[in-house]
Amino acid sequence: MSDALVARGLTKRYGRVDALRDLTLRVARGESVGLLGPNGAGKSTAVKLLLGLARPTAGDGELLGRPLGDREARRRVGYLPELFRFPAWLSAREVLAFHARLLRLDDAPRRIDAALDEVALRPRAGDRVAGYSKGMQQRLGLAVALLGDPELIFLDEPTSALDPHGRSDVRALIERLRERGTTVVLNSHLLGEIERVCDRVCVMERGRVVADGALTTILGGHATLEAWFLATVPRP
Amino acid sequence: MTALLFAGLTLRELARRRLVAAVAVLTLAIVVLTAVGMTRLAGVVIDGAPLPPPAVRGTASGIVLLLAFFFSFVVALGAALIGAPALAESIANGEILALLARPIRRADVVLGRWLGTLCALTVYVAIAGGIELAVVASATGYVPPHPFAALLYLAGVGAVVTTAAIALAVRLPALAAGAVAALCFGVAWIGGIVEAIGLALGSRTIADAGTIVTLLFPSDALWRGACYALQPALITAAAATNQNAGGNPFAVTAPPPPALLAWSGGWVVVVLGAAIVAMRRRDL
Repeated sequence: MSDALVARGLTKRYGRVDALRDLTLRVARGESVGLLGPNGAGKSTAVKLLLGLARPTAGDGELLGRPLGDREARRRVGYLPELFRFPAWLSAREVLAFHARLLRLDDAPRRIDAALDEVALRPRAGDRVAGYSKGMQQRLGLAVALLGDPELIFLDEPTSALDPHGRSDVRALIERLRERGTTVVLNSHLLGEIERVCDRVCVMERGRVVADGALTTILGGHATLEAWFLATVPRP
Repeated sequence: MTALLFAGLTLRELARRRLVAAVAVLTLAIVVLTAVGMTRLAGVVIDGAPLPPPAVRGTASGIVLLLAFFFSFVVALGAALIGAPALAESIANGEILALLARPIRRADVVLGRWLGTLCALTVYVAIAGGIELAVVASATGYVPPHPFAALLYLAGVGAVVTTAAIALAVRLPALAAGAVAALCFGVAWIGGIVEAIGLALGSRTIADAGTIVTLLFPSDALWRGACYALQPALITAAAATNQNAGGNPFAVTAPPPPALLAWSGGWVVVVLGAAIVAMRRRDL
């Protein structure tokens, strides 16, 4: 079976700024990888290139065995963007129903309920998004990403708007995804989070991968990922 | 098929955000005012005698042209203010990221937003314009020579401005895209007048300048088609014999030639195609 994700020398340049430089990465199916790095390190750019949302200046790659940007691959991928807002005039259930139509899902109502249950949003699913807190919107974003049981899921700062309970729920959710064999790519600068849920860490700095390996290998003699990060990765 | 989903989403948004309700109330107010005005016009007494029916119909025809002019502005502004945010806002607020991570083509989003906006405007033109003309006809007996053609031309104005607004929204924020599209409509209208003035004065240079503007943004050609379809044959004949009427935006001597209509249709297709290409190439 092919890897879930392959990047070969992916590079993205915006004018004179190198947002991502020569990203080469392989993620096996079922693996859970944390992309971490300071703000502006190129984590979100990498995910956008892999999803075909931005075009690489150089390099290429594959998603679930298909070329980057391939529509068929996107049918099997979930994505929670870092910054997003759903239409305020729709309810959560309507947002999910629209995405279910885009995915052409069979048995959409059942799968929408399942996604809502995963993020504990079902009781408020009929309310309009306009009345949601930031945390609820984040949960809705997660439900949208989970819809259709994707084989590979990209979560870009999934806990950024959540309170401690919400963060704990997301960690539990990622654990469940791992148990199901879903490949998870988690972008975060909350190092404790990555430490708890990822098998492997890929550290980025100024558009480059500066470390990539199993968590235990990366940590070396450091007690925590945060201690390693502060000692190793310079300030942006 | 996916484009239709986005068109439906656009229409649902207009209904949910109470735009449809607001426009319906305002249109009703305009219809009531028109009905009252036209009924009064039919009952005007001058020197103890009621206004003769030909005079009532002649006055009504002028008012119909003014109303159509108002409608063309409403349609153009509506196209700019609905079309631009329909696409630009979803790009600006990141909603588009979750959508385009789905197995859809970017062209579907552009086409769907365009189609939804155009549907809303066309329905508005058909209903509001149709009711207005019916009210005028029932109060004064005046029926324009080509009412359906006039409504089609007005919908065409909407199509041109919508296409521009959507195309600009691929790259510009909603406010800028809407403002530029509305501004283009205004410039095209002035271009049409400049062209007519140039022809009236016999200045090829001035006329050509106006023609170029009309070709670059063909909304004025369609507005003039609406004018021609609404004005009585008598006024058309008078305008044709009076060279100075050329600068009058309401006095049109001939319908837009088929070549100009084909150009307008081609313009919409090309600009929409360019918007799709720009969307495909755009980094999100």
